[in-house]
Amino acid sequence: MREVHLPRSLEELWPLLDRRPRAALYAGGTDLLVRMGRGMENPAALVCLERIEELKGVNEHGDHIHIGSCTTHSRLLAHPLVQRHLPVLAQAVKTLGSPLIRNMGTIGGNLCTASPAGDTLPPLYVLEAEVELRSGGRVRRMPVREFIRGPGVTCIEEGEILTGIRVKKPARDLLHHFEKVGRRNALACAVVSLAALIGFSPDGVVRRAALAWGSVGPTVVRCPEAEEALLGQRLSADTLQRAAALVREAVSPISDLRADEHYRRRVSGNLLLRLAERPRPGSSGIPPGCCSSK
Amino acid sequence: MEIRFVLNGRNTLVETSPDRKVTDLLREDLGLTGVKEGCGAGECGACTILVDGESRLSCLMLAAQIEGRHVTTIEGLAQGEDLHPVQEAFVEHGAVQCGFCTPGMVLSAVHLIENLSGPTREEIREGLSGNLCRCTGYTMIVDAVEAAAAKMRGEGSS
Amino acid sequence: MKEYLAVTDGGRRINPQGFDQQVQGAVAQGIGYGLMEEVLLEKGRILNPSFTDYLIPTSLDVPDIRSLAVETVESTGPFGMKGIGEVGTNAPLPAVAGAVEDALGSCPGVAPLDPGRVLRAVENREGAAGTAAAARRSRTHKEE
Repeated sequence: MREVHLPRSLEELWPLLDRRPRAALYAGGTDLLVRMGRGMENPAALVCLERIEELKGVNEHGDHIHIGSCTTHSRLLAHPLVQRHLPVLAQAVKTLGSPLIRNMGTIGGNLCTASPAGDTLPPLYVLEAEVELRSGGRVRRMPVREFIRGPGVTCIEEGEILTGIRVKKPARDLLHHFEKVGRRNALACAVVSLAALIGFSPDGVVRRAALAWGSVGPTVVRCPEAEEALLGQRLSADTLQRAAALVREAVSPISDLRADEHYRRRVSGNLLLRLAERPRPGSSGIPPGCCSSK
Repeated sequence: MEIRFVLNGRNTLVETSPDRKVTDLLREDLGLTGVKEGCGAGECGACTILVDGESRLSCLMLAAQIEGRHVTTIEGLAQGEDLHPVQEAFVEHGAVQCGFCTPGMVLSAVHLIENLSGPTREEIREGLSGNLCRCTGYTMIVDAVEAAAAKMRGEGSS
Repeated sequence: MKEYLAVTDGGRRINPQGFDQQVQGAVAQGIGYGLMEEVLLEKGRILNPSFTDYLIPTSLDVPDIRSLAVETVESTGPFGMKGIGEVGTNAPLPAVAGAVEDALGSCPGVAPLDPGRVLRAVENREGAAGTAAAARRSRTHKEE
């Protein structure tokens, strides 16, 4: 029989973690409880964070958005601040798991699990999100790209929890794009995914580009060469094909049950081609920052 | 450990281990075998229940988590002999074959309709995408949910 | 898959809703068989023995299935009926294979027609087209 603790506040949590430093932490349980069911983890004590209200919610502070780590994916999707300022994240969360998984799973959990295929991760990378880690004694902050070290490996230390994610509000006129390729249309682990934030000059030429790929490396892959290749260009098929070729060199996919390395490499480049179909924000009455994915 | 919660509208007290899977607690300790275990890993939706009105996977919840919550299983949906409109629609539209996915499917549909008025067929498919069905091919399930949503909005016969 | 029309001869149709239930369910299974279901074996061991990795269609993978019956009378069947539980599984794979062949000029001879196999078929076609173009160029050169 395992101990299960449900602290109601951070104040209750810290002494608990002192008493049970090797307790396994979870919020929604959609990763930990599955691993325990498979016999991959067998903790003597569990701490469930789902009752700690101060870890939930989406707020704005000046030009930053703060997301509590225990905010469920469903709450995130429904939040006007996320819809308005972070559509690339909303588009990704919409494809995550299933409605049931989204009602339970949290953005903090997705980050701490640090799967190479985590759906929230490519958007958080292009948004240059920062994570906040707290323990009884201190607060640490670091960019997401430093927080995640490898597949399933983060910087989190014993006695510490991920309390929140901080994102600077992107400029209002950016194109937000996310696409996930899976083997089916729901309950699908990403085979390849792309998150993109593109800024245009008034004449339609790219002036900034942030691109991030999921499921094609041990962690999220950025490709500065591909981003450079788009700068000063229009998003034509030719430009995107050239960038796609660079991406295919940059990724390091594996072959697994879902897809082989060849497929992932080819499609990681192909995903860029979709950008040619996206309407430029501000053109033909499309509201800035608003974009639909597949 | 004692767990107090509201189950299908009734105050309930159980003595159980805090890490008992909620599916097992409901099925075996409380006799509510309408809750099904299809996979135990959150991939099929057969174990769906409502917790404080929200659809959740009971196979990925531990007993300690339901302390103080309102839990609804399929057994709690009908009012005596009167079926819930979603249940009636499922019967009328042929949305039940073997019935194994049905309790979870119905509860997911209830959650969907209560949170999204007048869902389109695509929105219904999206809302039920965590509930696998092997028998029906989903078309009649979508018909049933569409009809039930219209009825619950007061739009007359399905 | 955007739409599906199933036209089925089940002999006499006595319970129309039951008939359509069976056809629609079987078509969904056929769609899974054609597009995503595969038991992966390694030295006799199943590599994907769970719902996570053995993929069956969700509600977002199956379109509305329209079921029409062509009623005949099967004289050897009870009340003129034929069994209706399985026949619906037959057609989805050939239908998809026909579509792939229409698009690419050929179709992989293995099910499921998953994205990896279809991508290879596209690439083989590109490769073959490249080879044909090169052959044309070399013929023209020789003629000159």
